[in-house]
Amino acid sequence: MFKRLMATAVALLLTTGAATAAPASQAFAQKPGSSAAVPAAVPTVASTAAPATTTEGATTAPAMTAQDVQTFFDSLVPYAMHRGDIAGGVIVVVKDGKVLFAKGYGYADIAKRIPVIADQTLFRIGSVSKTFTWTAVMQLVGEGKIDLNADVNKYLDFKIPEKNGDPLTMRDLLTQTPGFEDTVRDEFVSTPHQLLPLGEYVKKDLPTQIFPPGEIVAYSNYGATLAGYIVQRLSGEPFDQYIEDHIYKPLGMDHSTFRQPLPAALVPDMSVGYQSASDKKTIPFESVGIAPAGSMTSSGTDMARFMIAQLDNGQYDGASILSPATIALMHTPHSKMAPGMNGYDLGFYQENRNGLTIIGHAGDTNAFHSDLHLMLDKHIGLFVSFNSAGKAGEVEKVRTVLFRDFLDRYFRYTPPQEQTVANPKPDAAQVAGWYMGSRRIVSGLRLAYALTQTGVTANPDGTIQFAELTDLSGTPKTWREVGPLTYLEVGGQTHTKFVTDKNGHIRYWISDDFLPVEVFQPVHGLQSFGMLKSLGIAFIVALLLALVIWIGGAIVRRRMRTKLVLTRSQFWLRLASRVGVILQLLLLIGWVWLFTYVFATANGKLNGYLMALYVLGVLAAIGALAMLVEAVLRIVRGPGGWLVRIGEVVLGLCALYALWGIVVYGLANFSFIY
Amino acid sequence: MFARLIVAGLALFLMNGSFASASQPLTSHPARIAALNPAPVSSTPTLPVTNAVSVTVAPTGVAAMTTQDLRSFFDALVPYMLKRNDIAGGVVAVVKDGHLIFVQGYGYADVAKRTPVIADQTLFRVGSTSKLFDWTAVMQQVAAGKIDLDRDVNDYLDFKIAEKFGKPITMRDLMTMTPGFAETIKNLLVATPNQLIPLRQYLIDDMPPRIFPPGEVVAYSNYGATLAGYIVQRVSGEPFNNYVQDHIFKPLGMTHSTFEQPPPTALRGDLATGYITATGTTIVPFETIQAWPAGSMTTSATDMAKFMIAQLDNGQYNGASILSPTMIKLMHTPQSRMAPGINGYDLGFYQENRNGLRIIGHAGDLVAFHADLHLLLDKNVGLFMAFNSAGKAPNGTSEAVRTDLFRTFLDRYFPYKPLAQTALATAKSDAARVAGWYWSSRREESGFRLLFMLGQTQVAAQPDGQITVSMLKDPSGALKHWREVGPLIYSEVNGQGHLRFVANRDGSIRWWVSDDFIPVMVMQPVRGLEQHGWFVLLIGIAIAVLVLTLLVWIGGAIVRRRFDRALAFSPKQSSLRLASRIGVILQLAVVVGWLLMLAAFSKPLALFHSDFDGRMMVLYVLGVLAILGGLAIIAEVVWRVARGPGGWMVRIGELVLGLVALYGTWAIFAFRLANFNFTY
Repeated sequence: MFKRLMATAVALLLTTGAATAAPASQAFAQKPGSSAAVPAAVPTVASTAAPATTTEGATTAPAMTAQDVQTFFDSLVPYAMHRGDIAGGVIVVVKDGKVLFAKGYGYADIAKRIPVIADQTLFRIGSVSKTFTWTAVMQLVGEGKIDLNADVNKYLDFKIPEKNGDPLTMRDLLTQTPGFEDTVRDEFVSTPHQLLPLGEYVKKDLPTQIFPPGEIVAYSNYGATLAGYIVQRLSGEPFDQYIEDHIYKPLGMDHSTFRQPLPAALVPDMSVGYQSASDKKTIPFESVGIAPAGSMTSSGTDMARFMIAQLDNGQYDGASILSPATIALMHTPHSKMAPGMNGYDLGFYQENRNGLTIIGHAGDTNAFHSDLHLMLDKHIGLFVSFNSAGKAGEVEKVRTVLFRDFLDRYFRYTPPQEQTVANPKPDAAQVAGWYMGSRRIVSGLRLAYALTQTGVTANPDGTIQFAELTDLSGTPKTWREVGPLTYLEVGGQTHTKFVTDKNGHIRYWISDDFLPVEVFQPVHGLQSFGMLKSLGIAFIVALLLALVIWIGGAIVRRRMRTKLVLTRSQFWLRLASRVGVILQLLLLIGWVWLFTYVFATANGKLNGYLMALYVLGVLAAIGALAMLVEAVLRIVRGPGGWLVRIGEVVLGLCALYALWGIVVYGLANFSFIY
Repeated sequence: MFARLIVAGLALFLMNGSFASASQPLTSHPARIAALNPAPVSSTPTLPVTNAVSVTVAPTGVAAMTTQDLRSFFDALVPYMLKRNDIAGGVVAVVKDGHLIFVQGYGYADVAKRTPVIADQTLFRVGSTSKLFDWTAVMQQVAAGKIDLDRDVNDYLDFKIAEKFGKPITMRDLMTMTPGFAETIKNLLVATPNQLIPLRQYLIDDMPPRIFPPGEVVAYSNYGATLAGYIVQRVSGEPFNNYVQDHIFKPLGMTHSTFEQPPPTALRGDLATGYITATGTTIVPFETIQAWPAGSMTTSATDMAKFMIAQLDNGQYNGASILSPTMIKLMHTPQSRMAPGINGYDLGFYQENRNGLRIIGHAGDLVAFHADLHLLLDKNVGLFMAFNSAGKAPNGTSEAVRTDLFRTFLDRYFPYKPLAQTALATAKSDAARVAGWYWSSRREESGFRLLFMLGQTQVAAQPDGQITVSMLKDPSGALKHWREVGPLIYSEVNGQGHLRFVANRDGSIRWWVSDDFIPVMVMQPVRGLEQHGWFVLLIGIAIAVLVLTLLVWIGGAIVRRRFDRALAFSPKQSSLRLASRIGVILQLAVVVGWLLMLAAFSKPLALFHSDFDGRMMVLYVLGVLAILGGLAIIAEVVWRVARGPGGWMVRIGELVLGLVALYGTWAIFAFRLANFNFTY
């Protein structure tokens, strides 16, 4: 996930791109782009196209039999995996309390040619682990030990400061609205030995609350970890142990664990993790520092048991993990960020589609990518997990499209007709611009998030596009306005809505094409990515030019045996200014280096690098002041012609921009919260 | 078919060239189903569920090719492929034992109007798959005794193909794609049907140079197929289009098929719109093929099913016969191959044996439309597919998709486990021996040869003795790996494809050919400075030096003026220096000129008719001037280095410039940039 953040930041820095905001630390939730994959442009026109010459024209949905499901996945998954460069995966379907289908595809270990076996091969399930944490919380709610609406400080041995006088509740944690900024520090560590005990982690890495509790969805791994810690405290059992005793054991999930490293008995069945199948680069067992939020390891058939229990009133094979009432409560909508849009139940988010009530949770580590879906009114569950990120992270699209194609095959759906509004152009113009996910870091790594903005663009015909919401081929989808600031995917069924404040200004947008784990808030003015990009490029070009002219001038003057006529103080001030130029460039290079090389290698241990950069930030600020003073004096008093003065004006503006950037982006704020 | 070349050209040009397709316009792109072959794996572990609940899972085994299973298979797979690769619409037909058992349209014939593809109605262009009708017509004339496969084709023509290599071109050479013609691009397509000229005129105006002796080297030729169509026209006395209509379409009841351009009014309304991508805005207008016997056919999937049945069923369909069993047998008999054990050509069909089956077929590509036809001879099964979009480059093209679809189909119904083969001890030394740059036998001799130079493919030796080939990739775009399993015989790691290098008597590599790709060309080694690696390096250095020279020249002048200095030159020195710097500009102009030319060439909808000749002329003249400029540069360098003025820096600079000028002048000759050849 660190890598992800970096990669994004670099992509943004290096290309001039329409920032495809991959909200940074996304290892544990889904990346926005990932769920965007609707067929849209390409329906299976099976029904309309049955030609006379064939014996069959499937006009109705096929029955969901074991055989049909097998044919479906056998036909689709091998190609999807090859095209996406994914080594192996497992797919499980449960229906009416039984496993209908479970099968492995591809390899658990390419080098050893070990196939994936559905009831044996183990996958890391990333954030799908959270559904177990939330289930544990609900068990304690059922026992009366947790009150969903009580201040969580009541259950803690340290204090979470209040924000706006609102206490933080368990319900806020379950609906991902605690308002915490995002966290990446200590989420992944290099080896299991470096894992912090839960209690230590939640105290050490407490993030800043950037929204009042209960108001804005902003997915928080910290929040889920905090819930796990509360389970541990209230039950008196270590978290891992609690899950084993109260969920795995009753369900007979003997191929599952939260423990890291894996218990010896499970090690042989663990799938290797890959970046992609063809590069054969293996990703070592990932040590997740926030265990309740994402450390679980499981098999396809073990997950089937959990899905059956969730679908079947908490019952499985005579055992019960939750009462029907608590299951009902857990599967009841609790919060949403816009009317009619998917929101959160308790711990599960909604992913209603094809007219069905569906809840679920995705999970990502660097190598493993999983997804769990419960079609509540059909009594059907689907779990998929893959062991590779695939080419350019294609696995995240693959799993979403598999889910949606599965729905389209068995639950055909024709979305209701919705007319485009009479004049969509003014709204399109209003919503166009740059947005930033509510899931972000504002303390330590603000710059990375500032660079991961996502664009909304207005087309001439009044339709709009989101850089974030792309189809399976990676092309942004097109959206038309079908209600006030409500957009429908052209040729599809999903909606995206913009929510305004009292004055009619856009507060955020949220989309059913993505997961309801965050909203996207507008960024205006100098901080918008468009301005950052153009001013940033101008800034860099001006600084480089200043350096070239400085050095080139010196060479030419020496060769021509002439000198600049400067007083001693002018000379020193000019030198200080040029050193300032170098410092600005060094600061930029330093952050790029942090986002690229360091993120990829330091595994979350950034403090030393950050300290160095913050010191550099202070020096750069002083350098910028020198540039400013020198520019002012040189413009006012010379020496130099108009060309020199114009150059100095530009340098002075650069100095102002640099100072603004250092302050606004916290480049010298000495924060180590991230 | 042609613009593909162009698109590929640009891609090549802009990237650094694992040039896959510049040389394969009319045919399919190699793309294998899997780096990780699914067949063994997906069929392995179907959940022996021991401890889990009661699971009822279909038994592992080979799926029976029933209508219902085909429907489930294609319904699951094709929509995903279209979405993933940004293709608007497609159609698939399967025939088996004389019957059409499955046909289905997917996606849109027209995206804006949301018109779905309807299998027995929507019309697709099939590009070079048209040639199969051309070749079938030839075989009818062979049967009628009017064509002898081994006679000089000049005997059937009213113009003459000039003598070369002491060997005549025969109809068999045309049918096995070994006539040895250079590639043809000019006038292959025209802008509108009313610009079409008679076949004879086209064949005379655009006759390509002969670059290989007939019958020796496969080098796919649209010109050759067009020549065959003209011969059919001459010996039958019927215009080609009418001939095919009367003797193939009519007996088979192919009422939705035509070679006419534009199609007859009755059919026009059903023609699918052509796209670059489904989501893009570019609509490809009706593509008018001047070389029409080679690629102008328009048809429906159900019509193509009838043709496949006739080909599979001894020439018979529904009581009618288009060829005798003997002729069909002859047509389906291997005729030529470029390496033992590797797919080659039957008569008109190429082989694409796979999964242990004998398979023949033919693909076809226009800019928008991409088709493929496969006959599984031993299984009496035929598969046809067509798409109306180019798809998402580089790895999501319709060429890649159709290959993946064909191979996935084979793996489902005819699973195959290739023999495990062990690597040879000589692997490392042989890998070093075959490593290098190769280009296609299907190429040009005009200035556009440059395009083919840029499209070289690289064979690279891996540390473990395996090799990779830049044009042979898996569906995700990752390079496949090849392991040596016999002397210069390579087998795809985790796959079934083979690749074979053929050596000359002196042991040097003559070419390689692979059945991971279709056997329409061989890849021949490029030697010396023309190799892509050298080319890119040297041209890069040359451009940098030339630009730097200009900057120093101009910058120096500015600085000298500012400080009121002047260079102490005699008038003679001064003029020579000026001539040298103009030479620099001219050499840069050649680079820029050809870049612009290749860019124009690479536009998706670019057409190349004779009005391109003017631009070619300008570039050729520029080439001559640049040669003169190069000589001026060299003269100035010699003078300046020998006599000054200038310190050691100036002299080093001049030396470097001189070397660049030498290279530039050589390159203009070597790359045919002043050969005034207008046949392309």
